[in-house]
Order: sequence, then structure tokens, then C-alpha cells
Amino acid sequence: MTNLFGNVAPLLLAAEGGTPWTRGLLDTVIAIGIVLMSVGVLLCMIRLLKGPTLVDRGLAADTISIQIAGLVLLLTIRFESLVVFDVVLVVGILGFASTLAFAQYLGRRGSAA
Amino acid sequence: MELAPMVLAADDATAGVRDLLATISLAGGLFFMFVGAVGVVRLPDAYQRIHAASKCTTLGLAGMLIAAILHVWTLDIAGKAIMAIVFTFVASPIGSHLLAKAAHHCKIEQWPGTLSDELAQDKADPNCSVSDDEIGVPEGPQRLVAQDSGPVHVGAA
Repeated sequence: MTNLFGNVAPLLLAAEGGTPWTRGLLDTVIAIGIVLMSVGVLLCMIRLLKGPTLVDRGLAADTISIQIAGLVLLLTIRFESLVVFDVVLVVGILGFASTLAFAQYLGRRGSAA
Repeated sequence: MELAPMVLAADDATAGVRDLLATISLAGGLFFMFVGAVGVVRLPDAYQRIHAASKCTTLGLAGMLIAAILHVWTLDIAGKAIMAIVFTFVASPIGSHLLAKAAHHCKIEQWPGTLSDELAQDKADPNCSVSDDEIGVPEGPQRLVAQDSGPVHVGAA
């Protein structure tokens, strides 16, 4: 636990203090959110596999990357650590660039069958 | 590898209120994220799927970033998150617009219940100066030579 996120254990111990009611509610919502976004990744994977056109496949891949960024953001909120937060910015910029490149490719290709 | 703990939660008087607001914002962001994922699967048309995915990117990620700001409440995460929100709100509609334009250029058929296709009408209209393709260049690199096509008239001449 200490090699990836630094000292996680004192953060977890510090998270036990404070106001327990709102903290417990936030932790519950985070736990629900992990399930929801994992289901969302699976749904986008369905569209990625069976999408009839290339536009659907590229769109599903972009949505999967956004959902992964959301999962990283949930990790940031839970552990209150800035170590993994830069992933959100990097994934956002890469998603924008890849969408642009994909649109250029499709327009140059002329057909998306 | 020993990493210093970068931030700690500020246990001040506003921590409870901030956590409550962060919970509400996080729930909204998660709602839009999940609705976007469901819409990507369930909607009948590539254009409508682009619409759903764009909601997922802008509103869902913005809600979750606001929740991160409110919960962690330090200046560095606030700066990075505001930067990410501004970038996402600028970049995601541009990307969705270009993807929809490429889809229309590739002549992906619409859902039969769609009311109109105004871009196809404008392309068929000789008085309208919507260019056929600004994203795809089928002719190749000679389009890169500057074409002096006179003043560009927008809309019906």
C-alpha cells in the first residue's frame, strides 16, 4: 500500500475523524459510483464490439476513456491524494486529440462501413 | 519509494457542508456519466449516440471535478480541476461536432424517425455555401493550394 500511493494508511486513519455523517454519505456515493462506472465501461464495451459503423466504435472508445478518467477521479476523492489526479487532464487532452484525428481519418476515408 | 502525503483534508468548520455539497455534485456527475453510457448503447442512431456521449463528457466529468474541489479543498487541486473543466467544456463540443460532421460526410443513415436533415438540404442547395467537406479532402493535397473563390457568402445569397 505504501509504494504506489504514498502513505495511504495515515490518510485513511485521518479520514476516520472529522464529521462522520457526511463522510459516510460521500463514501457510500463513491462506492455506488465505482459500480455505476464499471457498468458504464461494460456498456460502452458492448457498443465498441457490436457498433455497426466506425463512428460508433470511436465514440465508444472515447466514452470508455472518459469513464476511466471518472474512476481515477473517484480514487482522488476517496484518498484525497493528488498523485493520480493528473490522469484526468491527460486523458481529457488525449481523448480530444484522438477524436479529432479519428474524425479526420473518417472524412478522408469517405465511408464508415 | 516514499512519497510525502501531498494533501490532507482540512478539518475546519466547513468540512461537513463541503462534503454534503460534494456528495450532491458527485451524484449529479455520476448520473450523467451513467446516462451517457446507457445512451451510447441504447440510442438507435450514430448521431444520437454522439449526443449522449457529449453529455457524459461535459456534465459528468464537470460534476465529479467540482466534487473533488469541494472535498479536497486545496488550491492545487482546484487549479487543476478548473483547468480540466474549462478544457473539457471547450474541447468536447468541438470533438463531437467534428465526429458528427465526419459521420454525415460518410453518409451514415439517420434513424427513420428523425424529422429533418438540414445539412443535406444545405449541401443540395446551390445558393448555400456550405462546403461539402472541410474535414475530408478527397482530392488530395491540391486542395492545400489556396483557392481564390471570391467572397464567402454565408447562407442564401
